[in-house]
Amino acid sequence: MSRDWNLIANGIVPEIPAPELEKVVNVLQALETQFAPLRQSLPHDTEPAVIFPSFPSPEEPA
Amino acid sequence: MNLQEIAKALRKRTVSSVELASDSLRRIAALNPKLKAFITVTAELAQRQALEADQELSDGKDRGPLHGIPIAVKDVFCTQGIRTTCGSKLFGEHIPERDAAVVERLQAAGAVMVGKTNMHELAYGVTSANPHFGTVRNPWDLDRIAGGSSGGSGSAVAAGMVPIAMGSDTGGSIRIPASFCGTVGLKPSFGRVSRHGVLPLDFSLDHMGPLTQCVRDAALTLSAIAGFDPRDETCSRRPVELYLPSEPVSIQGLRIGLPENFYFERISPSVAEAVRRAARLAEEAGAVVVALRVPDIAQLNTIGRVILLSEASATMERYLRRREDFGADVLALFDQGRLLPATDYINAQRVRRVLQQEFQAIWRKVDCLFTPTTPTSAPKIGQSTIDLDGEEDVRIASTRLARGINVLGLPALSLPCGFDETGLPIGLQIIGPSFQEALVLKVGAALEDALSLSLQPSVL
Repeated sequence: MSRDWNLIANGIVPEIPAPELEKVVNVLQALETQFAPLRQSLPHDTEPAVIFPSFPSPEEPA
Repeated sequence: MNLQEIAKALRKRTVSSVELASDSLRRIAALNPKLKAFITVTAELAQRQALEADQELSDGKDRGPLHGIPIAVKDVFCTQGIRTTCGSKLFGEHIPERDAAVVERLQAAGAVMVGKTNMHELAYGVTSANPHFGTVRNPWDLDRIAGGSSGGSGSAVAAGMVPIAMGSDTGGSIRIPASFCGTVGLKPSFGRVSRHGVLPLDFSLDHMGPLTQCVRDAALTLSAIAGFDPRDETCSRRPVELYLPSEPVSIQGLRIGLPENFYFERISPSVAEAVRRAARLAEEAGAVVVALRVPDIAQLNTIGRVILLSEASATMERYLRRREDFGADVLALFDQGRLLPATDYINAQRVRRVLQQEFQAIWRKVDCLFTPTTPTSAPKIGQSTIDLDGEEDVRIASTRLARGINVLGLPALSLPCGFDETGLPIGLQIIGPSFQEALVLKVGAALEDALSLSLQPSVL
């Protein structure tokens, strides 16, 4: 199900003027098209790379 | 002259640091009205530091290869008592109380700071068309962008105003201006150089590094700025290596990967030919060129954008009600980031982990990768799209080959590898495994020697 970015914008950042909002929504729709398949195919147990880098070298001193 | 030659001349007293600083300041005065490469020129500070540098050398105190060398830093690095704007109206009068870690290290190495360079507003873009401090122009063609966000640093080094200028790179912001301006640009591994005292754009993607006139100068600069800093929690404790390649430089037997997918798609023919020629030269120098497929870089770019939009908007949220203080392009990016749900950000970080692990497999097959840095040479100022098998936003196109490497945190070097049909420089990107800056710089130095390009921009 695609997101209603206009509705989200009206709820979170209502101060965005209409002409600017249209451009913002177009970009987010395009990004959503690219990103949705990635997040939907993630294995359930994948953790985020919150500690970076996520592959510390064994020789890295503590 | 490269840094090593200047350093020798300083020690033989055939030139003084005061003379070098004066030359640099004269050149800035002559060219900056055209190029808009500097936001602030620190002439008095430079003259004082240069005098001290000369005095120290006379007294036998030698701080190493950067001693007495004029440098500039992007206006995103905090400088004690000197305005640090981040290219933004928001910080137009911001005078930090302390230096950034990189500035501290450059000063400890004896460098002489001549000024703060112009940039894309808040380091959030690639054109360096700054609405508050002017549009940075490319010394190779004044009607073209210098790239960004470290555009002033690229323009200043290319125009010979300074031999070294520091930049920051969140999605290509060191490498893209290096590619467009015909300079060297080094983005070190995440954690190699402290981010302390740099106005942040994105906590997990920001990297600090130099733009220089040659690869060996980048190596010497990295040696001065790299290393652990307890004030940056992501900074590595891994010891700093010798980054200057030992002479004669040999790349005999090194395996260089040439991607079969993504990196040579939708790029200009002259860029493709220049990078392939660089690979042939590497082969002639004894390296083994290996054609290989790389993990999906488009996916990396997608999650890189989700992470950047989210983190940058979180960082700047407190300022975003002051809409009139932002340029339109930057404000639109912050608006996009404010609308993305937290679940997207977390899921992008989860995909990031998967792709980091996938990319690790490459380093079992090759020692480094050769790719173009940018799909084209420098676009024109005001140009909004690039047509390469279909129109693409100039910002998306310019970052397409660079952004993913920030998501992975890998070291990447851009160096000039040829010219397009209009005489504009083309950048080669050398990507290595995490913390293998010495290898990347060695390969870069060997290529630079083999290419032996003459890099004299038209503005000179």
